[in-house]
Amino acid sequence: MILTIALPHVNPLMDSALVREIFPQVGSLLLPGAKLLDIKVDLSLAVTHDCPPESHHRIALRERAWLRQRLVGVGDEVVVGAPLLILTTDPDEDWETGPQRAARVTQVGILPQTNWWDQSV
Amino acid sequence: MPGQPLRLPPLVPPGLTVLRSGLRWLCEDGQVCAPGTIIACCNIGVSPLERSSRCVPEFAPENRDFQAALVLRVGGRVRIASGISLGGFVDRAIFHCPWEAGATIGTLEPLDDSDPIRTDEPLRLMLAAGRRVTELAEVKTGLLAGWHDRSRVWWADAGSMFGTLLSLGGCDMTWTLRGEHSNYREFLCELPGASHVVVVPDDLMVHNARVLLEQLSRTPEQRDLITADLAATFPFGAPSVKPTDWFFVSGLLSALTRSPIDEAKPVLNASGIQTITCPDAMIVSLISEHGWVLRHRRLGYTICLLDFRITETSEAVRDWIRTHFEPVWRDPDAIRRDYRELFDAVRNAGIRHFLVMNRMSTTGHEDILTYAPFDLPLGKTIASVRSQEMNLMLHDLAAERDIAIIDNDAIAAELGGARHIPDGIHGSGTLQAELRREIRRILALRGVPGFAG
Repeated sequence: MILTIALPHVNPLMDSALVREIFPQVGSLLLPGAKLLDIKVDLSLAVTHDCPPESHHRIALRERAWLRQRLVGVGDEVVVGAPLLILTTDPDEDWETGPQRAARVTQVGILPQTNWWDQSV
Repeated sequence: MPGQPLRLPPLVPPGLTVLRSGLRWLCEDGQVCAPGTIIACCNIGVSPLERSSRCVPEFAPENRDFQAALVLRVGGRVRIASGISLGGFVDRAIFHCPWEAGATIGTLEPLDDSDPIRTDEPLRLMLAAGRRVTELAEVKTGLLAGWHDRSRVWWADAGSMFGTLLSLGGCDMTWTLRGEHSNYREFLCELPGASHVVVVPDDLMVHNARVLLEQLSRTPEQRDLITADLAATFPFGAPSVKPTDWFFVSGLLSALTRSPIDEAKPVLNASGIQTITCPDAMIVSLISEHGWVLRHRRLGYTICLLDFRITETSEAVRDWIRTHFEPVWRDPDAIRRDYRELFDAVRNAGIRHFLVMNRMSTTGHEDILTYAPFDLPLGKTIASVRSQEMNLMLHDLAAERDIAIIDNDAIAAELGGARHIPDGIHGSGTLQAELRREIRRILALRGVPGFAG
């Protein structure tokens, strides 16, 4: 079965989110509880804001599946509902025929992750 | 319709001169105004009688943003006397009028003949003082407008019980106290006495317990060492450094060489100038207790900065921070120890009431069905777990020290978190009004002068 993970509406005021981290590699088997993505929601959008109303969230998987395709990369700004990942329940399944349902996930607010300490950022 | 004259309240103490600019009206002629409305304001200057061209030293740091606001005790229709204001710079920067108590500036008319104005003096005087981060920050747009590293308001009622509340909270607390008009009117108008509210915002340095403790105990020699070290090591001349980075280090140095808790806070009323160094009550926010702080590798002092402020500096500044500071993780136990130490230090300094606002700990936007994706300890990753651990720590602390908790968590949850605190920190006007009410209630219950009836 082909599964998809789309950007959830983690806050009713959000339109989009920034992808901060994608954890699994394409082709890997993911077990229930696997970390998938970290995203940042900034309710001030593109407007630079003092003390920005940001929140950080992690999306984790609740079922067994294989990651077949990443549709976004770290640093991408994606809109609510946009597909992020494609998974399949069998490792060799042809995923290009399109998703049959949304994967079961859980979404959790996480502490802000500092990114400036790493010199590469 | 006959009304009561609107007269300038008493302000000038013996031995001093108070000069003012023209009045800037904040209402229209004929406007119906509710009790608590600020109808006019002006800038003021205080000088000794014999040296009327020189400001008294007490107010020198706030001299350029020292203002008087005229507040209605009762509602009615405001009639503005003619010739009171000339507009333009004359009402902002030219101190051409001596403050004359009793001078009539207008009339307050009742809205209904059968309901006359029931006070002889419809005006109450609120004074406001802002200490600019830099004197370059000239903003003349209104009452307490501008970039201030400390702002204060107080009722200039002479002779009544006087009390001071010092806020060192985060943005959740600063803007709750400042209110919808940013001038503290909502908070102050509901207080029964001659209260004084001092707010030091966390524009750059976040006032967590460790930072406040170090500020309070830092010696002049330690301040000199920090100053010399910053001057020697900060990359002022690096190619990527922007002029705004110099403001960054300037703000940092100011915060490291001051102690907002026990620095002088002078107040003026018709009795004279009283310099407050020890507030009656102090309030902080639990959101200021970040997990990570930065400790100077050589001198050992702590700084806590908002992440987005660091991200906005140039790479050379971030490299300077990485070179000269190390990140230190603070779990709830470490924060509890810091709070305990801070509480004891401020008690020794004479501050009798210590209030802490807790954190919104839940969100309707998550559905945790398993904790498996998260490494232990969960409080290091999951925001709601961290908030709940911190709130619990605060309750434990309140069991061993006399700490009052402003229960932001419960109040926001009752109002509806998704609507009234959508990002978990920044609240709606309704939430802020409820928090102000709770702060007033606690201060009144504790009998803090000026805040208790």
